Amino acid sequence: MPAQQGVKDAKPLIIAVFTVFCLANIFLLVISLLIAFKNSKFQPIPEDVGLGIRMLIFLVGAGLSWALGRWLYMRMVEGQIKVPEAATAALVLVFYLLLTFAGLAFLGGFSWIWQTVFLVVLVLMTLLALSRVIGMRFAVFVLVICLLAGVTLFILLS
Amino acid sequence: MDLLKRCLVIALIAAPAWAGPKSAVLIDRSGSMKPYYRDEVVRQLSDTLLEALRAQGEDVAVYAFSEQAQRAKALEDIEQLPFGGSTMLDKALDRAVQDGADVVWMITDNIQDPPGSTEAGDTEQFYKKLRSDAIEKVTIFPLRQPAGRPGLVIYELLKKGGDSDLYERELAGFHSRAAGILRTDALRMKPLDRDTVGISWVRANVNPRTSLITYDTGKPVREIIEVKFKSKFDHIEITDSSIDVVKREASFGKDSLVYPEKQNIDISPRTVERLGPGDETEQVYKIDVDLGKLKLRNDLVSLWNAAWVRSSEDATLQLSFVIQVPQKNFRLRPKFLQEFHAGTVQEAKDTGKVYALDKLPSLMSEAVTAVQVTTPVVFRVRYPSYPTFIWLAIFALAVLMIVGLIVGVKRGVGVVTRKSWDVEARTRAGVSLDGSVDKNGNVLVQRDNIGRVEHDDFVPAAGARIVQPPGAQVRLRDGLEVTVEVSRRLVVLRFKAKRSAAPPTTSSAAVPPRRR
Repeated sequence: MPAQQGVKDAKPLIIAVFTVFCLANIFLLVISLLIAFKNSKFQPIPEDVGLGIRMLIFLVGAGLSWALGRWLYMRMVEGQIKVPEAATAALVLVFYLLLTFAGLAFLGGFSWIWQTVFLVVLVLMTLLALSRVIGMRFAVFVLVICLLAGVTLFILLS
Repeated sequence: MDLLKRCLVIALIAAPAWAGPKSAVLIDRSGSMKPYYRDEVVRQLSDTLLEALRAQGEDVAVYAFSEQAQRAKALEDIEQLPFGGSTMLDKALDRAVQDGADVVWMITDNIQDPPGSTEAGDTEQFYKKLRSDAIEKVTIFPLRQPAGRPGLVIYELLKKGGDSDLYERELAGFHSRAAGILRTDALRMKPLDRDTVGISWVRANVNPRTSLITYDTGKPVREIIEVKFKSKFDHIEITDSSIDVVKREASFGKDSLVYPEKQNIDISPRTVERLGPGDETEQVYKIDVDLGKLKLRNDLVSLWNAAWVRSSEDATLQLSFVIQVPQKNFRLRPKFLQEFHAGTVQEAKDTGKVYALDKLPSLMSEAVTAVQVTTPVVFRVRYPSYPTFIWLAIFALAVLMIVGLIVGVKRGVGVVTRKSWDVEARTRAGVSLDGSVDKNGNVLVQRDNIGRVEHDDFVPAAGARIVQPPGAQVRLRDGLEVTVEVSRRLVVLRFKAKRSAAPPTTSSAAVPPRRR
């Protein structure tokens, strides 16, 4: 019974983290699309900030991603999720986090290209791997909600 | 001595209060001015002028001048003075400047010869003074009169190092007050060589405010900028003058982190055929700016700023040209001449215009005037990424060194403070066994690893158990006996402390232990 309880505890946490960072990535992609195609001047980080600062944001973000991913992995293992599934799911989440920090650090006129490519890959990884932990229905639901939020934001801001 | 010092201090404090007014009005009292006094033209003119000057909050000194200048309290005093024989403009100017005036206004008919002469006066000395460095700015107001007497001239002069703001304020004040009352216009005649011609941008990727494209360091920069020259003169036109490019050091300025490899600037065509007052040239000029490769300065501050402060900068390059204008190629515009200029004294008298106004450009300019045209252009330059990676590598190296140092120090301290241990082993029955502690801290009995010494603690190996004293591990002290159960037999270990930091060496240490 405690093991069953553990499984139930890990899932909402994974779904929450996945939702937050998927939304963050969609939000950053929308901003870069607006910069590229709608001549938006909004920049979360000033355009001419030093590359070192951007690298620092990315590296600190990478560290945080790794720490958070490891913590999530431990929660999943403690939640009686199989180690290979937990590892793959944690890795997918780490990549979501990494993409968020990379998007934040290197947002620009052309960043929408690589952001889109990586996001598509992550969506595929979500459907193929993360869905095994959180369930296909939840995975598709969160992805659809995030995409709808992104489209709405783009329409509102453009 | 003390008294002398006090007097000196009082004199220094009081000196500014004693200094004369910064503005002076000099009114011509020569014989040729008689009709203007008689018809109260001078009164109206001086009243307008003095009101305009006093509106600036400045005290104004008033002088009458003919052969020499004489200070007067008011115009009434001047009107009581006898008319002079001739007009000495230059001497009058000297007097006002000697009295401490920065801005000098002169009301005159501009005729220096004795009254009654039909020839124009030789004002060359006066104009020579105006051309000289002693006078910084000259503005002339030609004043048309009703037919029957020649027009008058009002000069506004700023002495070298004088209060330029006051000059401009008084000029604007008089100009606005005179408009609608007097038939006049301001004709700025000095400086002719500065702030008189600018640049109008036709087509360019760079301009004085921003740059439309971003240039990368390490890549060559060559821009063709299309411009027109734009005159800031109100009434003077320039014709047939050559353009020179001023050679400058290849630099964006000392605050810039980047510098160009070279600075080759050329302009074509090289002549200004005609530049009307307030106009732009019809001709479009092509400025070829070749800067070679842009490079980042190789000093620590630049490398740091390029990595951590900004990723790009707006580097400003000064483009400087000189338009060489021969004296005869400065001309007053026809409309102005038509309004104010009379070709002869008689014509001036008949029409109320000013005699020989067209000579002013040649009187006020040198044989060739070098008109400076300077404009900044902004190049947005992106810094290279290598300083960032250099700094990150340095930081990584520093972190590694610090970690290495901490680990090294920790180990060193451990080696110094930690005791080395030796062990004697025997059975409960007292039969001596071969026992030792190897260099890794493993406690070996008859080549069996029964535990290890960790930080002065004995920790039993898997399969071994401490029997006496009870506990999972035992803090060692010299002479302590520990009974360990290994493979269902009891072994008594007697630990002996060795104070040497050197690792313990025993003959058995060379023999690989059997792992339990």
